[in-house]
Formats: sequence, structure tokens, C-alpha cells
Amino acid sequence: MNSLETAIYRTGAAIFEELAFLFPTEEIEDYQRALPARAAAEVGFRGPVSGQLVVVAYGEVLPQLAANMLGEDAHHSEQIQRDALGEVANVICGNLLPALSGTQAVFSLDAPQVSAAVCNEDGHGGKRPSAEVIIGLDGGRADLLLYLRQ
Amino acid sequence: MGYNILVVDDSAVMRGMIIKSLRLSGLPLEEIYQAGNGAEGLSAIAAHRVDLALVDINMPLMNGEEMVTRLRENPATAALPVIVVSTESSESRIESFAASGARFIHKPFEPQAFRAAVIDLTGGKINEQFGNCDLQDGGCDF
Repeated sequence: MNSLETAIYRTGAAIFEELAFLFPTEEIEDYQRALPARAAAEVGFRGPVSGQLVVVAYGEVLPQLAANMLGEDAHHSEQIQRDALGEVANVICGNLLPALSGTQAVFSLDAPQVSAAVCNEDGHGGKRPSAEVIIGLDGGRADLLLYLRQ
Repeated sequence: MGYNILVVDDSAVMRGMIIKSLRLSGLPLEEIYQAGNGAEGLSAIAAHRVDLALVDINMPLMNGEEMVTRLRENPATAALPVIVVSTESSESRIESFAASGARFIHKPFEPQAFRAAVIDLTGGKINEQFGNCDLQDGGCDF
């Protein structure tokens, strides 16, 4: 991984741990790579650099997020699950930007947009991400894609 | 009796997490009100007795900055204790909230952060109407 990918991975893994108590797996297993995407959360940002961070949840990550963040065992609606993913993406983005640009930089973040459609490398206006990392999580994985506007 | 708290965040999940952290913090709580944006937050403050507001920054319709500005412009709410709960890391923006008398908690947070912020805001004392309560000692006599 290059330095940008390392920053994204470290920030993303830390937020999944601290916010949702989901711990990264050491390796990405074949079954994790084969899991279906469940939802994608996009957070736009503007500042010294502008772009979007997209977090795609695969497998059972989505229901686990809601359950862990709310500390309840009850099944949560799809709306709540997507809300949880959106908030995780929001917090990852908010913590990633100063890691990239320092704490003097001022950014504006858009509200997270969560959809069932997957924003993959062909789905974001045909643009490839500036950086992409995969975080293996118990029962699934999360792909973090950073699109920077030049 | 305890604090009447208003939680303002556009994410229902984040409001739930904040409320859970408040309950784990050991602070004496009475009513907890919720709002999804700054405008709803101001309406809640107008309709209920609120002792402390926890406010996100980035929200639709009215963001947290504008909500805090309007609170400070109104003599009836100018002194309301406010804690901003956000991913914001810009030193200048955090300082501007401090200049308005608000405290700041960075997401992700731990329950102890709320207790520490409330102690900092209130000097360790809950409003006299709640009785003799010294948070630093961890005890409240009601």
C-alpha cells in the first residue's frame, strides 16, 4: 500500500473498531472477496482538496454495524442499518481529511448519501478512485474508495 | 431529578449512540429530547426546559454552527450550555465554538468525554435547581 492507502486503511480500521466494535481481519479471505455488496455510503467534501469517500459494505457488515453501534441485539430496519453505514462513512471521512491535510485545513462535509447500488470502479461516473482499500471484517468486508478531484 | 438534555444530529443512529453514552457517563439524567437538525433543535428548546444541548455540526436545513449562533443571539438561550459533537478537526472552527462558550467532543467518543465536558462547562456543579450536586465528587444530593 502507498501512503494514501495506508492512511485510509488505518483511519477506516480505527473507526470500525472504535465506533462499531468491528475488528479488521488480518487477511482478506476468498469468501470475503466473493460476498455481495449490500450498500454504499458516499460522503462528499470540499476544502484544500475536494472529492468523495465511498464506503461499500459487503456480507453481514451492515446489520452488525447497526447492532453494535446501538448496543442492541434486536434486528434493525434497513433504514437504520443504512443510517449506521452513513455515519461510519461520515466519521471515517472526517477523521481522514486532517490526516491528509493537517488540522489547519478547513473542510466542509456533505451529509452521507447511502444507496443499495454499489459504487464500484465503473459506477462513479466511470472514474477510477484515487485510492482504494479493502478492510476485512468478521462476516464481511468494507471497501473504502477515495475519489479526489484534481 | 437531573439534566434535561437535547441531542441534535441528523443521524438517528448517532443520536442513539450519544444517548447510550450519556447514560453510561454517570451523569444524572431526566428527559432526553432529540432533533434532526438545527431548526428542530431550536424548536425543541423553545418548547421544553433544556439544561444542556449536544449538537452536531453538519446537518441539513440548519447546521450546528447556525444553531449555536442563534442560541447565543437570544438572551433567553445565550447561556445554555452547549457541547458540539462532531468529526470536525479544524483548529480554527473548534476555536470559534470555544469562543461562543461551547465545548467540543470529537467523534468517535467515549462516555467519559461527556462527563468531563459537562464538568468543564458547569465547573463541576449542576444548576442549583437540582440540589447540591458536585460532579467532581461523583455525588448528588436530591
